[in-house]
Amino acid sequence: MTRSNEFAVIGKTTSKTDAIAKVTGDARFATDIYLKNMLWARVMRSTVAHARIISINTEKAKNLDGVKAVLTSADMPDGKYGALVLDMGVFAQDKVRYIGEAVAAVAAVDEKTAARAVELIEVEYEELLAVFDPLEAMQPEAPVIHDDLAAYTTLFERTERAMTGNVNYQSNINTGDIEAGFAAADFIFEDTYEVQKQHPSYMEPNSTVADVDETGRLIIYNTTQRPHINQAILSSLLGIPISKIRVMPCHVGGGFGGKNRTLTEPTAAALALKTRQPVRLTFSHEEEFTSATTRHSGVLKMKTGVKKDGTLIASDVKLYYDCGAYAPTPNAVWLGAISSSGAYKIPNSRVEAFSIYTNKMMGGAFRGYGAPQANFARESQMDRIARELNIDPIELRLKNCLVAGDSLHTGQKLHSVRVKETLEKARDMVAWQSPKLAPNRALGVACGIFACGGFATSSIVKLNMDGTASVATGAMDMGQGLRTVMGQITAEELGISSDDVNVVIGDTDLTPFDVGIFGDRGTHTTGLAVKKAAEDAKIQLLEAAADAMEVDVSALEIKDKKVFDKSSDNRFLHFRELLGGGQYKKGGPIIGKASINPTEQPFDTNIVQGAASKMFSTYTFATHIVETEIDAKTGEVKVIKATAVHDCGTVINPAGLKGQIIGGLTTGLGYALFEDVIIEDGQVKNPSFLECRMPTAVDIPEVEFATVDEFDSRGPFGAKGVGNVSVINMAPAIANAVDAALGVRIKSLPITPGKILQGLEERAN
Amino acid sequence: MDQITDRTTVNGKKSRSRVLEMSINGETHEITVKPRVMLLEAIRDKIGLTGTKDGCESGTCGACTVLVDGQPTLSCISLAVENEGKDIRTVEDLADGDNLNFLQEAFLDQGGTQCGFCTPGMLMSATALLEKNPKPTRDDINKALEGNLCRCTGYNSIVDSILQASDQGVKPRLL
Repeated sequence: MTRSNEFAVIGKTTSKTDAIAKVTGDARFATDIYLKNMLWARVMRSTVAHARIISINTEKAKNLDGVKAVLTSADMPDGKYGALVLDMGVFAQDKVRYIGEAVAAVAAVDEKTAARAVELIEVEYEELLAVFDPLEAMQPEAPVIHDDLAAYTTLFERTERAMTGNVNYQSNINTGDIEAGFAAADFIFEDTYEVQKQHPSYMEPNSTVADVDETGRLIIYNTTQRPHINQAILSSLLGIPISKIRVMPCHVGGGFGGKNRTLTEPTAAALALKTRQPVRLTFSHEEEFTSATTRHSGVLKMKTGVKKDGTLIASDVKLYYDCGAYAPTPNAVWLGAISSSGAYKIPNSRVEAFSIYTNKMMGGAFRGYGAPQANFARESQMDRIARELNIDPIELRLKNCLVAGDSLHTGQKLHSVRVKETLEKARDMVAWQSPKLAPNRALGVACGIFACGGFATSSIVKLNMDGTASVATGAMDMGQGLRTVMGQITAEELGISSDDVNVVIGDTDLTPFDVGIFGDRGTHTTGLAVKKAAEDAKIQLLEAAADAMEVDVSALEIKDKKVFDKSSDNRFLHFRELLGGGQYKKGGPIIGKASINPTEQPFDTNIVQGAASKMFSTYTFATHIVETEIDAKTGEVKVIKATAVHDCGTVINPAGLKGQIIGGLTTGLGYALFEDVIIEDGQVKNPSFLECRMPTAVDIPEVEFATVDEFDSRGPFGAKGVGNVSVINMAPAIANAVDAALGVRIKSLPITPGKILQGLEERAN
Repeated sequence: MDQITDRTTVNGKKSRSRVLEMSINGETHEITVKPRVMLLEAIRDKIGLTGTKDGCESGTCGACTVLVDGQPTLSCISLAVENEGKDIRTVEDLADGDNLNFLQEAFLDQGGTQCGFCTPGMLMSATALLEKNPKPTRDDINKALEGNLCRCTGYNSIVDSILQASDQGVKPRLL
């Protein structure tokens, strides 16, 4: 086993390679692209929640001075797109299904003219009954949102309810014997939880500048987590070959899953192809809140059977996730199903998880990806069980938590699990005695699991003549520090310094395929491909050295950009000598490459039906403990301190880790206490940061964090991810602290002062 | 506000546009703008300094913060014409050529920037704070940054950056 102190580069803080450009203002984002003759686009959006489109009249808009093009679905090839369910066109096709859906788009000489033209587009609707509640939408008499749902293309094995009524995706987990499990239980706990829509709130709006170059190729400058998938989707939607499209992502001003989408690209591209001029489309702040995506809201029903001593023996979970009018990522529902057992061993488990259409803005990917909802339910209920059985909440968790070698309820055997150690370490860090500290002041704990890594990626490592290197990956850096970490991994493998590595990301002309950065797969999965490509380059370099030095490869080792003959300290060749001057002896310049997909093993279909993925590479774990103080008069909750302990395997960049942990738990704090995109009759009521508030500097508690010692043998240098699991514990930990302090159990998010006051009133009666 | 209704001749045409002399980072720029053009648009679209970021265009996120006569100002909701003759500073003013200033260095040392989109606004709010209060407390910093949103960092590393810059014992991280 290798530990971080045996590494030269891994585990040492390396300044983010792009940080200098970010503090000088030189870093170029998509909105910073200004091209000659650039047109500005605006989108005309539906004002009704559910309607058939009778007619669209764009004549007045087209005739407005300065307008260069107007497009509707009639101008586009008849394609639909999505991750698992191909259900959405670039523009509404025949029907509109939510307020804010794109109906038409305009390109004009400036943004104001484009906005004026949008107002001149006339749409005649035949309004239809709408449905806004996911449970109502599941009833047989509910309005059907997608009439020909069954005919849509899907990329998963359909279960019985999938693609029927308003259900677009369903997965089931059945392990053990659920009836026998509940029969053997001494106590049964049954609760219903509700969760809200949370907006990803990246600071930079969705934006694309599309251009057509002199050869007729489409060039896309955008802000995205998945350039290669963007390229493929553009090809399919616009009916042009992939070779005619270059996606050149700019710096991404935050993504958090919200930019693992293709939102502005097709519209800007179609307008650029039509006008043969560059076109910029940037979402307005309001459009971000009405027409992008949020974390799925939903209802979670959880029934758990427990033995007297606190052993979990049976669990029956139903997840109803509201995906809104289209289902860009029902995968989040699958992740919710996996996470719904928590980080626990439950021998008899049943989960039914649904992704349900309603006439609302879309639910999509957002940091935590389906798990914050499920973990709020699981970890809230665990605390209830602890309280009612009079067991310490941490003891109850330790009694049931997974250890390496256990199987998750999906049947996947786990090889890297240190959740127990995260619980113990967090307990020690806060000197835990009991949750209640003083009147209105208490600690709350939660732990959690997140699926890490997987899906296809690739990398190329080129060695330069002077012994420096260049690594290319189609993955993206949205600020989490992927560039820096890929540089470190390349440097470590090649025995050079991070400063000697140039990292090229994203550009589809320069980089090989990566499916996109989501689900803790950057450091882990892209990292694996980068390491393997560097290894390939290293082997070629050693072979060249063996030839030149006339020794066997096994006699060689690399140190400080030199290849040494191990038998003699004096005999070495500098990288420069092996790579320089075009004098390659072994078939030319050295280029290492790797293509991998670490998720190859399917789930057992006797246990899992409707899986949206194969088995994940590994799982990450964390425990968070919050200290809260509640003002019983106003119901306001203040988190004073948060303690976070993570099992993320080897730490590659400590400063990056800190940013991921504190950033993630801050997003979790907002989810717990106030963030809520409120929709009434399909209309978003608070479409701005002002009305839909996210945490500011004054909301942040003191944070202490730590990691536990773990080396995941299947990760790059033993590493796992960290970005998602940091989000999922805050809501239940805070709910648990509120209950410990006041005896008020809040089962719906966010935990507002109003809900706390109502709970206090109910308790008093 | 009589400036706004002024009619000026631009390129021989009667226009509501006005020619303004804007002092940005110590340089005077002559730009022609319509009366309702915001300072942000003048800085980015007219003068071409894109370091100042265009986030929400509604005064809620703070990414567009610049200093006007030393005061942090949301340039997306401040009219360009109102800022004529004032001393405007943007993020591009902080470094001296290739040499970063102490605050920028501290952001690098403490991991104060992740995606970087809020960073220019954060740096300008922090500059204003440190010019008025060279030894701010953590609370002073939190209050000064309340109008600058960040989704990546959880603010902690930004506050540490400003503490380091104010030479109050927060050392460059050494791990």
